[in-house]
Formats: sequence, C-alpha cells, structure tokens
Amino acid sequence: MAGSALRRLMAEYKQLTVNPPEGIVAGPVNEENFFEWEALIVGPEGTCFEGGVFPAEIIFPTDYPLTPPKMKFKCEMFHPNIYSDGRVCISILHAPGDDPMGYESSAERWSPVQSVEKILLSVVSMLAEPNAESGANVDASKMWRDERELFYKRAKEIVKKSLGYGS
Amino acid sequence: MPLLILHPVPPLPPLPTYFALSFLLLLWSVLQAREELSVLEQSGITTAPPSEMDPSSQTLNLTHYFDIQEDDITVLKYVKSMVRDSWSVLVLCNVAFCFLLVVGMGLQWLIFGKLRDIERQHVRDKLWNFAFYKFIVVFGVLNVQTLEEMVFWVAWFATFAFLHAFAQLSKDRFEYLSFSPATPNTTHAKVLGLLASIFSASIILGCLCGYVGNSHGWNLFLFMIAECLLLAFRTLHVILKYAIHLYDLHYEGVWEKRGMVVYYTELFMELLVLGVDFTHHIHMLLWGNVFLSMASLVICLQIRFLYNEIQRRVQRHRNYRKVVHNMEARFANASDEELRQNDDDCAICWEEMKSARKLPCNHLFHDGCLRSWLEHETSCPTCRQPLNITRTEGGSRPQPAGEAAPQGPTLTPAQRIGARNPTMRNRLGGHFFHFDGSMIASWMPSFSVEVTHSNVLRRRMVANRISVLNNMANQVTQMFPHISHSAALNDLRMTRSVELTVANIVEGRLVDTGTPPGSPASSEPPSSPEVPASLEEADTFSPLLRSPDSASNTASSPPTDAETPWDQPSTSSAWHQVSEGGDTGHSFSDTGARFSKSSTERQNMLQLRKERLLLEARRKYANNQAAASRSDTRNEAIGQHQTGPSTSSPSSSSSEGNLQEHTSLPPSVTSNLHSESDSNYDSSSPGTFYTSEAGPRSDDVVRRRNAVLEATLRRLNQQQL
Repeated sequence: MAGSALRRLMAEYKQLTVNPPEGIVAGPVNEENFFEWEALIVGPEGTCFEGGVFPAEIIFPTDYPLTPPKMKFKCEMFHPNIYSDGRVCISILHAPGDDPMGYESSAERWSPVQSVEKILLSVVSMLAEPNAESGANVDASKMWRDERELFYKRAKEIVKKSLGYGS
Repeated sequence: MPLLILHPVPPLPPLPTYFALSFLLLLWSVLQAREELSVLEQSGITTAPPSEMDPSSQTLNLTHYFDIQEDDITVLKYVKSMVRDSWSVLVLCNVAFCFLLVVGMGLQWLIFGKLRDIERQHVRDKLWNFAFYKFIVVFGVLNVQTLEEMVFWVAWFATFAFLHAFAQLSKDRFEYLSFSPATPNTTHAKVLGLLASIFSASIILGCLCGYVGNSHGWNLFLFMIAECLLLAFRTLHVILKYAIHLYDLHYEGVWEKRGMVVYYTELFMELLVLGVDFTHHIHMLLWGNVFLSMASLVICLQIRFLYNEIQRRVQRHRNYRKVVHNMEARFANASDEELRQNDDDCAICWEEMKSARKLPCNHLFHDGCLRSWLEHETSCPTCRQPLNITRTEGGSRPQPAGEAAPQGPTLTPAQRIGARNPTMRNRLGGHFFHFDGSMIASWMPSFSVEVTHSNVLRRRMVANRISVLNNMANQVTQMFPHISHSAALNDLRMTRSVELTVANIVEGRLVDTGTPPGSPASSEPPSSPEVPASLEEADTFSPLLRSPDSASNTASSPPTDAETPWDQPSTSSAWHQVSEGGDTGHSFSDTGARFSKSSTERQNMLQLRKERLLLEARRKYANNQAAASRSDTRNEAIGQHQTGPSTSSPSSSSSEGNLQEHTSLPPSVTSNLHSESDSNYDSSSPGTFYTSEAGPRSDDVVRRRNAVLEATLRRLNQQQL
C-alpha cells in the first residue's frame, strides 16, 4: 500500500524544502505522482564537477522506505560510478539482498533509516570522490585512473553542458 | 522457439469508419426487413412460420416472442422480422456492440477523463486476453452450435468484458490516485461510484444466473455464476483497498494496526479470487467433457498456473506468520519509560511512537514497521546488527506483494515466464502469451507470442514534448515580440523553462533579428560553443569592472545596462528580481523555503527554487569564465605590449582605475595567482577560479581577483621596463 510511503515521502519533502542541504533542490516532478522526484544537484566545490547543475530523477517503490529508490541522471554524465544511461551505482541505493558488484558490505547498503537527503549527499560525495574500484562506467574509471587531466577536461565539458551552454 | 510478432493485432479501422459501416449495414437490413414485411402483409400471413430453432437452445423461451402480431407497433415489427434473418441478427449484434462502445467511451470520459498510456495499455491487454480466452471457452467448452446460443453468449461475455475493463480502469486509477496526497474528493467519489455500480451490476447478473440456471440445470448456473463472483470479488477487493486508503489518509495520527488490516484484506481477497477461479476451471474441465482437445490444454495450463499462485500465496502467509511469531517471541514491547527516554520518531515511517518493539540493540520501532522490514531483512535498520531469526524453511525468502520471483527448484520454465509475465508486459507495453508444450509431452514445441505497442507510446511522448515546447515558445514570443518563434524554441530546447529563456533574452544572451542596441557582443544563440566567452562581455564584464562603491564609474557603462537585472552589484538581488519577474512573486530566504499546505503552491515554489539554483550556477560559471577570459586577455595584452607598446587595449585602460582601490592585497595571494594566470584555463587545477559563496561575497571575491590580476599585469609591465 502506498499510504505509509506517501506519508514518509511527504515528511522528507517537507524536510528538504524547509531545511535544504547546500546545492540540492529535490521534490516531486508533479504532485499527482508523489513517487517520481526530480533533484538538482550542484557539483561539489573544489572538484572537477564544480559549478555544474545536474538534474536527476528518483523513482520510489510503493513499499518505500523498505526498498531503496532508483536514481538516474537526466543529463550527460561521465563518471566512474554512473552508468552511461545515467543510473547511479552507489551502495546506499542497493538493497541488502542484491550486490551487483560483489564487494559492498551490508553496512553501507539501503535501510529504512536512510533518506532522500542522505542519498543525495552520498551522490554529491560520489561526484567529489569517484570510486574507480567499482566502475559502472569502465571508460570513465579507466580515464580517472590513468589520464586524470583528460578526465578533468571531460568533466568541465559536462559542467558546461549541464548549464545549457551547449558543447 | 521464441516467435516475436510485432503487429499481430489486425489493423483495425478507425472508429468513425467502423460506426459508419455499421450504420450502413443496419440501413441495409432495415430495408430488407421492410421488403419482407410488405411481402408478409400482402399475403396476409401475420404469424411467423413455426420456429425452426433447436428446442434445446438457450433462447428457446424467447423465440415465441418474436412472432409478428397484428397489433405490434411498426418498430417492433421491423425488429421481429429482422431477428428471423441470421444476417440481420449479426448486424443487430454489431449495432449493439457499437452502442456498448459509445457508452463505454462516454463513461470513460465522464469518470476518468483522458486515460494515461499505461491505463489504456492495461485495458487493451485485458480486453484482448479476455476475448481470446472466452473465444476458446465458447467454442471449446460450451460447444456452441446455433446462432441463438452464440448471440446469447456473445452478449453475456461482452457485458462482462465491459465491466471487467472498467474494473481494471478503476483499479489502475485508484493506484495512481493513491500516489498523490492531494486528490480532490470528487475524483474519489466518481471512481468509487463506478466501482460500486460495477459491484451491483455483478450482483444483478448473478440473480440473472439464478433465473437461467433454474431452467437450464445447475452446471450452467455454476459456469455463469463463477464469472459474476469473480467480477464481484475483484471489484470488492479494489473497493476495500480504496476504503482503507481513504481512511488512512484522513486518519489523524498513527494507525498502528494498518499493516495488519491491509495484509489480511489482501490475503483474504486474493485467496478468494484464486479459489473461485480455480474451482471454475476444474468445473469447466469436468463438465465440458473436453478432454484431449485444444481447449482442455489451455484450461489445464490455466489450472496449473492458478494452483501455483495459491501455493505461493499460502507459502508467503506461512512466512509472514513465522516472522510475526518470532518477532513477538523475541522482541519485547518497549515500556512506557523506554518510550519516553527514546523520545524520537520511528526511524522507518518517521512518525511518532505510542507503542513500540525493542530490539536487542535498544533501537525502537513500530510494530508494523518492524514486521514489514523483517520480511525483507533480518537486521536492525539503524545499526545493522544481525537479528538471527530463522524465518523460512528451505531458505526461500518471503515475497513482497505483487512481486513474483522464482522461489524454488520445482519451478518449470513456463511458470517462471508466467511469473515474470506481468513485469515484461509492463516493460514492453504489449501482450505476452507463452505456451510450453514440453510441460505436457516432451515432443511438443514451446513458443511465445509477444505483442508490442511501444512505437505508439513513443510517438505520443515525442508529440507531447513538442507541443509543450511550442506553448512555451508562444508565451515567450508574446512577452518579447521581437524574438522570433524559432529562436525562442531553440533556446527553450536548451533551458526547458520559460523563466530561464526570458532571463536569457533580458540578459541579451538570446539575440534574434531585432537585436537591442545594448548588447553588441552577443550575436549568437547560446547553443554555440563560443557563447560563454562572448556573453561575458555583454553582461558580466561591465558589472565586474564597476566597483559598487565608485559612483563615478557608472557613467562609463552602457545606458541599456541599467535595465538588465544583471546590472546589480550583488548576485542574490538579481535573482530576487528574476523570481519576482515570474508572476508568482514569492519571496525567498536563502536557507530554504516555506512548506506550503497547498499542492500547487508547493509545486510553484519548487519550480522557482530549481530555476534559482540553475541561474545561480550559471551566474557563477559566467563569472568564472569572465575571470578566465580576463586572464587570457591580459596575457594577450602583455604580448601586445611587448611588440608594440603604443597600442593599449581599452579594457586594460578602463580597469586601471579599478585597480587603484585594490592594491592593498596581501603579497602572498598575488604571487599565488601570478603563477596561475599564466596557465591556460582548461588545464588549470579544478576550482581555482571558482567562487565559493553565493550572494554579495562572490562578487567581492571576483573583484578581488580582478585586482590581483591587474597587480600581476602591472608587475609584469614593470619587469619589462
């Protein structure tokens, strides 16, 4: 039943609106469907993604918060932990049962005490510190490891694009 | 042998054509009847010849009504005469079908308005599956032979298809409505009213079954009543879920027993529907005497599927009981004192705890919340400490509702596909039939037929997006007549928001045929790669060069600048202007927004916050680009000074005045930036030129940087001298 999920999402939405973390705006795309959110994430300062505004969609399951939501960037991204279609691969978004990469400890996985805010903060820190070990995007992981300068350049282009300045 | 058919649904004619054809056919048969009637009247025979119908047919008790009497009114005469011709009967059926279709569409518009794509897809699936399956039943099990029987059954099943389709629509709509906290009560009332009428219709049909069964034996009665019961229970299930949802929505505080009530309602109704369906199929198999025919095969497959569903459901319930039992045995209820000590909301639902269960790690949760979590995972949600409950026999995990995953080695591939079926159908937006012959005999083939309509869906989405963009472009061109529609459309493709495009126009980033005189440098649309560099000169450069406290400098800036919102010394005030420029006119604090009780206001505020964030980021980016390009121009200027000292660029001379105020910078900063000003922007280490704070400080930082750059330039010049 969607009732309890709805209440919880409403509470989270309120918290994120009244007291938003810096550089994050998130909320339902349309209140007719409270289970589809859009988040805008500002690239963290002092990193190669600094200044970019990255839109992402978050899709919640009807039994939220028992199972984690799914998150997907809606803009072009180039990052070791983001699949080329935009899906985000971080351990907080994985249910304790499934382990696509086979390395995560259960402690950093999804649990009902996590929240949208924590997910978004994790994504921000993921942008700041890519984890090349668990590469979702192999090309990006390789570039991050071997050709850091090239990666920075690519990230700069993505920041530019995310602000609507074209390529 | 998987077989993929992309367009197996025959290309149906569009509805108006179909209606027109039906009407023509009706006209034709009316003319026929008129001819026949005139013949009858001429010969003076007013009563029909004795009926040739099979006495055992279903409609036997009706046939004598169709004898044409002298005193009948004309319309009735026509109808009666038409009924005696089998072609005319078919035409009449077709007309009745048209009528049903029109009524259905009218009802749909009245209650649901425009259907969502997924709803349309579900209804279409449901109707096709129903038609396909009942076709087999009518010809395979009932063994229909006469036209009268067929007409009767078609009418019967068409009624059910109609009701089922609406039950499905209501169910989908309810699920969609339950995703939103702000649905008007009238919408709920409409859907609930429809559900109630479907329910009462199924009861009336059940009474009809009793009447027909009375004269035609209990087998027929059982066959017909099963359909009614299935429809009634399915509708009742949705009604109950709806009632629980509405009650929950309007319930103040925490409804602790909610999980329990929902669970047992689900369990009871699901088992009831499955049980009735199962019995119905067994009865069909025994009564229809259809062993070793195609129909029996289909029925057997269905029985097997139903049996597995029941088994799965019962297994899940056992697991559930076990979890509840374990939880109650191992984790004590928290005492009042512990609750007071804890003084925190339940970490799972974020709501207040009036009673709770305590885990060994001293974490408290609601009874229901903890139970549903334990169905997923046996660890404390807060600290992850394993709880070591042996929940299940044979290691199979309990399945969350609505999710059917393979759960044991005994599952055959056919079932597994059957179990995956709903998700596949959802994903592909089509029908999926699977037949696995190897289940019955090893030599039989297995195949899957899949029907996809994904292209329809995609086309509609693209069309939607284009129309939305067009609307937005119209808005923009109304506000700014000098901007052409296509230019506005181009920019909207990039920004996806009217406000941002308006900001672009105001700033002079979007320039069309009628360029305003104030922005000479920005002659390209923002999609071109050079724009970030060129737009700096248009908007960000002049405020940068002007220090806010030197009033004498204002005269040097172009007069049109005074009208652009960017001509403000502090960035935050610029956004206030932009956000006020939108007609909503809310005021913002920088830390967060008010959480409105009205849903539309919340949406507007969220939209504005998003746009502000984007504008802020763009502004920062532009500033940084300005800083970067300035460092480049300085380097070029140095080069010019080296070759020909007589040429002095106007930008450097104008900034000389600016420089005077900022010479008191610490030397360490200057030397630090000196080394960086030589390096190219792209290869510089990240974040060097970026400002960190929003609002007035960012401007300050930029100004200071400018000053540092000037100092560097001067030192270089001195070195050359």
